[in-house]
Amino acid sequence: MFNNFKYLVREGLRNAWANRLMTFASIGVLVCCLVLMGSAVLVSVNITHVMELFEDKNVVMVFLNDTVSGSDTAMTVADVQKQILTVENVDPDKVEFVPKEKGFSSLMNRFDEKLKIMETLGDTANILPDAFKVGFKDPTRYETTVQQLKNLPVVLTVRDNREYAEKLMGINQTVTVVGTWIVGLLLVVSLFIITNTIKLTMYVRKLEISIMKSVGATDWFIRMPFLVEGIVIGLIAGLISFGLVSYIYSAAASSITDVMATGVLPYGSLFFNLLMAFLGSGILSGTIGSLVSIRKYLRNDGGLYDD
Amino acid sequence: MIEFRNVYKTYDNGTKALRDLNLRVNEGEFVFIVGSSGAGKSTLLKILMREETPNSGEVIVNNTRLSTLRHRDIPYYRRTLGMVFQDFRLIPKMSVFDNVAFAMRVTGASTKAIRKKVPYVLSHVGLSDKAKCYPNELSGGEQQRVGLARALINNPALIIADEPTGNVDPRMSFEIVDMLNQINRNNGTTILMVTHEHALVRKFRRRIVEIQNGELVADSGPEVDYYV
Repeated sequence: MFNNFKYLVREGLRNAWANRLMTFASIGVLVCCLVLMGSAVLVSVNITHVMELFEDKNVVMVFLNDTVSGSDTAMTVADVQKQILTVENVDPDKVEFVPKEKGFSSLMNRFDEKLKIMETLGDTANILPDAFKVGFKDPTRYETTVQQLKNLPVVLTVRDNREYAEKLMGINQTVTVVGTWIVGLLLVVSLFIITNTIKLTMYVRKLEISIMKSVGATDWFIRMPFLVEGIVIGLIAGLISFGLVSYIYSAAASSITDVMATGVLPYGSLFFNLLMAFLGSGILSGTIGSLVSIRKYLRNDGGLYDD
Repeated sequence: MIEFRNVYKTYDNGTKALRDLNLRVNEGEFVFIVGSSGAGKSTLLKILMREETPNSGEVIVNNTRLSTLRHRDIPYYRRTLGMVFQDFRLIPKMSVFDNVAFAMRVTGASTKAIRKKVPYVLSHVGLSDKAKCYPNELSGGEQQRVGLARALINNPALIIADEPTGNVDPRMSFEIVDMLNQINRNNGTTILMVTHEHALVRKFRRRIVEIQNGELVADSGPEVDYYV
């Protein structure tokens, strides 16, 4: 059987090459499909990652006026904490002071190595105010509580993560929905084209198939070269898409890191999964495409006489 | 070897191709099947190849009851037959050697076995020196000999030849039928040959079965069995 395997694989490759225009068309459409699918997945993965970076949705950062550590009307940290606790919905167990030095260093940690130079400037570069991390008892009263905190005289501003989180979640949903539709549509188109490519090969080799049948070839023997052709199309499309997406991702990553503090997930951590997903979906669509077309052919047209 | 019992075949378009056909061919016989075109000869062959199935009646070939043959067993049944076609059915882009090897490859034969057997069969049909040629470099008679070699390669017990001399000039036609005759005499292979050429039929004096309008109208009777 091994002899046959080698022979059948060679036949499949020959089919793909003899029919190269359609082969390339199939690869092209499949690449479009896979690239879009890959990009959508990567965007989604990154948004989820960014959302994890944010604190619990029920916690806000309350930045303080200079009054706390400022020289003149100095208030102690405890005084400020008391003021914050006057807001009814604040959970006393979840109020934590974040001095500006700590806030600065945790911010620095999120940045690229290059920005570490800022640290050498020391406190003069630290423009962050002191802050409190504040948790709420009742998350449903989030908005009003934030407003109440903002109204306190010691409070400079409140960083409202919920707004960001909701925006990101919205983007994530849009990407998923639009992505799913586009990918679904393209998948149908690429299956259609692969099916037709292989059907074309099959009609070109009509005589050969009818001879195969007359000398007693099993359906699997007849199928194999076409299966190989489909898999080759899928494999090449998978590799090209992987290369393209890798390139786009690294290009996008560097420009995103320039504007967004959180940066993107390092590509290395995604590399293997992505490669496997691309090859897998490429091969799967190639296999399905070829099996569908052969099935139809063997049922309807494949007689011993090809007239 | 072959038995048709009350076989009826009507195509979907209403054509009545076979009407109550009864025929028995013993092992080792050489049978010419004659009749005008549209008489039902092709249908008879197609049923034997298990390309068509009768509407009623029973066909038994080599102890295989064709009506109960499962779809996945058809290829294995066909390997016991050798088929020769009027239009040769050679693959143009394959050499003579590969065309013959093809039929062996399909059965899962090893390359070693193929390299041993193909030259042997080619020498039998007198084409040893043409192994590397392509079909379009050969005459009609030579092409049909390649077809014959391909039919012989898997040692079939039965050879079905569908007008094998239809595209071959008369002198070569004689040669082809003579080869079939030799194969029949030497190996005991049963041969069923559909033909229009009465001159050949008269010359070889083997069993003749005539079909008209789907019915068997004349049969010269079973031959004396050479190989009892």
